Amino acid sequence: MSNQVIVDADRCKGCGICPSVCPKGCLRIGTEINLQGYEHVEVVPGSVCIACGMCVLACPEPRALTIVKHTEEEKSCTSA
Amino acid sequence: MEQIKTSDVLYEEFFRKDGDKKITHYCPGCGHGTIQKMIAQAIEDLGIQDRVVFLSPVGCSVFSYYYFDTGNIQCSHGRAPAVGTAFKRVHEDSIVISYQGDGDLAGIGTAEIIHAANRGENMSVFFINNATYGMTGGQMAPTTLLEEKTLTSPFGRDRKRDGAPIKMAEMIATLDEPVLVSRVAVSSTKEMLKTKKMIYKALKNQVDNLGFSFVEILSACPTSWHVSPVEARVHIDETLSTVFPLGTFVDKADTVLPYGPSLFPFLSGEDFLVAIVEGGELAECEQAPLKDELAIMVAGFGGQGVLSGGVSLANAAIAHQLQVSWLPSYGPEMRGGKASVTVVMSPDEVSSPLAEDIDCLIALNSPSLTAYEHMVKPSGTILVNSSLIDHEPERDDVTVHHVPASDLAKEAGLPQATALVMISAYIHYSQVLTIDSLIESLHLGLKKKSLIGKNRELILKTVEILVSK
Repeated sequence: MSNQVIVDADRCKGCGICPSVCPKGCLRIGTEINLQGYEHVEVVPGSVCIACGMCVLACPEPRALTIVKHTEEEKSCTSA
Repeated sequence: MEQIKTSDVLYEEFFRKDGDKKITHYCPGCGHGTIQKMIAQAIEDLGIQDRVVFLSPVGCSVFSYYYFDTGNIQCSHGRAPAVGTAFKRVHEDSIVISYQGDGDLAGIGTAEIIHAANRGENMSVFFINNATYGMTGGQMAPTTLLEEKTLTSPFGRDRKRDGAPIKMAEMIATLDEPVLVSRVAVSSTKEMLKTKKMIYKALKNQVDNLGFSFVEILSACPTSWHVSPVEARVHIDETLSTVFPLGTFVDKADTVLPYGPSLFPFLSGEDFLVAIVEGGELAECEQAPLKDELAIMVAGFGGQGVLSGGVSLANAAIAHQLQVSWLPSYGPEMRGGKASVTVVMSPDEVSSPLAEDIDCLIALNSPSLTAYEHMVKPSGTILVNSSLIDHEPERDDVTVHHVPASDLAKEAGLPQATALVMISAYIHYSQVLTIDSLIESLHLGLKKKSLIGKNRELILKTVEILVSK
């Protein structure tokens, strides 16, 4: 089980900063429009998040992004 | 399983009057959101949420109190450091965060920040520099770059006309007191990590009582800069930081001694009152038989004791349970300039300290008599200092008394008590107050307490002479 970026779509303003700082290309601006009328960010299917936290740090909106980080143990448990 | 998320120091939902409760009011890609999340994280990491007082400025970040679950004060434009100074001095255990933009800190509030820094107030200041006035729509700021086009510099900032961008961190670094002065940026990953660290450090300094920490943060305003949020952050690294170099200018955290109490005693309440009147108490006399308001003007030149004489008269009236106002008027000179004071006494509230018609003029020199005698009410009184005034008042509908006040005061070795001699004479003639109450109130008005005895003798001698006249 890999790490996960969780996007709260209605808190996103689609500024595009998080995709620009993600070293693994996990995020992109999608085509869906949220409640505020922004094309919000989404997780690129199949990408691998290393839970570096840069997207959460760089994002200007509180709680738009959350990373669920799994320990090595948890990862090996589920992949076994 | 662990989570990397926004600190709970920021509210979960924002109860703004208008707008969605889930998002901030900042434009997409604004630097404020990123910086405020970093500050919230540092507050959480230091465990100081219940001690923080967050000062919101005027500017885009004016609504910070909707976001921070801490104490909040929204300050007048540019005055956050002054508010913070007061708050921190009264509540020493609080953690004061002054969060200000460039219009607020480097424009209208330049004086406040310089002096708070110079006093080394024990607070943390975050200065958000985006080189424009964001909230009002992108006008030229003191920090706007040369040749940069804004609403109010449509052809670009011109050095000759508008001056050069102001460098606050460098300015504040020239002062002796600040403990930390640094400039960081919310731009690339690397710079953001440095910013996060510096914000933590500025708050930690305050927790450790080290004094004044100032962190200037270069921040993007994609809307005013007319670029995309991502381009804006690149612009900071490529352009803004060449004009405003990043780096730490002052860091004395390892060498400075913790902030201690002042060497001088801090007095409050009753102690303070006792100290300023040196233990003096007001005499208590019978209520004066006064039905209507009385306005008395004492006028002369500086050095005749006009203002302090007025204080003695006012205190004597207070002793007789009257309501009193004391309104001085004087030039910039300590000696020799024009000086006058109007004392209004009343059995009820004083209607106005400014009197156009006066009941009594005490003229200590010739120009005062000429200038003010027209203000005396018909059948009022004029007291003339006959030592210095060799002409009579022009008015013939008033009572005039002559008192050689300067001569009496000089004889007693108290030339600065000339006004007091005249006031003694006024009390003697008017019978509204008593000479005793004047003498009993002397200690409240005289700065040199050692002269109380001499002044008392002078008052008694004046009355003696007037009685024998």
